[in-house]
Amino acid sequence: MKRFLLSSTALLMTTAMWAQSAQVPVNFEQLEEKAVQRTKISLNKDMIQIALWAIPKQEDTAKLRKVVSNLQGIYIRSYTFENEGDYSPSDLAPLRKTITGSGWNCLVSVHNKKSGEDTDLCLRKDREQILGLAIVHTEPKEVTVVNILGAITAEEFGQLQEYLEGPEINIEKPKPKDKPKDPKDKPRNSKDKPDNDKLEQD
Amino acid sequence: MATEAIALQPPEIEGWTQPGESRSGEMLARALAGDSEAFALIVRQHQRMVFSVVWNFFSDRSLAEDIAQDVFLQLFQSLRAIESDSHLLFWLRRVAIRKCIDHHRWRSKRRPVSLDDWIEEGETVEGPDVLALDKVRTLVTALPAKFRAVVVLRYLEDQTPDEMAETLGWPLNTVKSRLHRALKMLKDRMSAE
Amino acid sequence: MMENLDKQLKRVLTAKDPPPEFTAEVMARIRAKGAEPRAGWWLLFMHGHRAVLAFGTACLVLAGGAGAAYHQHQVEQQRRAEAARDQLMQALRITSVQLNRVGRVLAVGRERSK
Repeated sequence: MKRFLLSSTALLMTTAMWAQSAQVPVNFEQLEEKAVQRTKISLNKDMIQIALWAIPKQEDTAKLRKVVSNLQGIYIRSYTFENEGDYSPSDLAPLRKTITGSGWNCLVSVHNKKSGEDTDLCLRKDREQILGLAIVHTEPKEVTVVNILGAITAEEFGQLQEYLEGPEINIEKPKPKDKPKDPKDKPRNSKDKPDNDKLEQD
Repeated sequence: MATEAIALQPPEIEGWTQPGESRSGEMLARALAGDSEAFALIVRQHQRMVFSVVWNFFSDRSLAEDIAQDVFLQLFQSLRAIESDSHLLFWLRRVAIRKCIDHHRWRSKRRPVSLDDWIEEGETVEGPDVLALDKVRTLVTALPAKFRAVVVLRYLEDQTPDEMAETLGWPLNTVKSRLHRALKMLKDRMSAE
Repeated sequence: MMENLDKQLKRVLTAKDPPPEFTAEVMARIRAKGAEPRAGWWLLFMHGHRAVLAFGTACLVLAGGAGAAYHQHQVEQQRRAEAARDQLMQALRITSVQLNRVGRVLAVGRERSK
């Protein structure tokens, strides 16, 4: 009986801690199996501190260091698939259940009918304090999940823009020169201005 | 933990490999299988290109050695991601120029460039040209990192704007605009001095 | 002027060879990361004075090696930090792209509702 009570208490405490946490489930085994390209980044608080060691303490890095030092964790999962339909929305069910659950508030939910893109931006709050955010972006052949733990605002992200310009670190396969350009293909992280004719909201 | 210990055998990397595709390049295959001599051959084959890109970016020999070595260390860790010989060349050039831009961002001071830094022993340079080339060299090294990158890729590696856009991962218009502005900046500064 | 500048840039930006020992240094760094230290504790169980001699030698080697090992540790720590930093910057870039996506759509929506 005592053992049962102790186990139950431990389970309840774990559940409570999970509910308090801003971390979302980021284990997507089904997506990993089906994807042809994957990006996985998992940086907990310790790793972020280690990363800070490699950012010199200078005037021009002060903003970056300040914003980053407030982060408790940053988790990225991005998957690209060869064909539409290679992944199922149900593969993201545990994630969607979390961000629509208690303590989470989805500020933005965008659906683009023409391109089939969906983007959700959700905040995890405890009363007025931001504990973290999650962004879930899906396209017919791509899924990207961003989970940031810690108090960070969109304004603070804006302050990081100067550090984020320049070439990405992802190394992509070079496009073969004789391959004809598919007008439907878009660069993944294009800085091109949006085409207003194509975007629409529900 | 996000980072893993580096072993002599190239570690499993989140793959960019498409299912069913074959790899060309015997050296690549042997290096991937753990043949260190094959990897050394790959280094010897490409070290000049990588070193040249970095050296021309910074005009600093010891820094060029350090960064060029880092590029090959990163190659060793990322070997599984290399699809072919042409992809290898593309990968090396891209990582080298990115490391230059990133390193420039972290550096707090720029060391003034002197004539001795780039006139190699045994290299003959005509009298009047020495001063002119020295000026051009100094001005290139003083360019902002992103402008310097396009100038190095254009004039050292003979890349077209399309190729530079692929290497750098920038939109084509951005590449053209930065190259144009870099050349204008050089021209204006040369006229002013 | 532009043609002259073109020629000068071509002349200035030329290929350079790294030092002859470059490849060897790269391979040495790769091996240094892959090497694992072997503990010689079995020496302590040898009989007679040879154990003492061996142990003393091991201590000297360890003491001398400790400095090198510490330096290697520092180098390794620096590399881990740089790798973590690179991953952090990549993560921030990806996040920025996603936020910009949301921002663009919201801006379009606001424009249309005017």
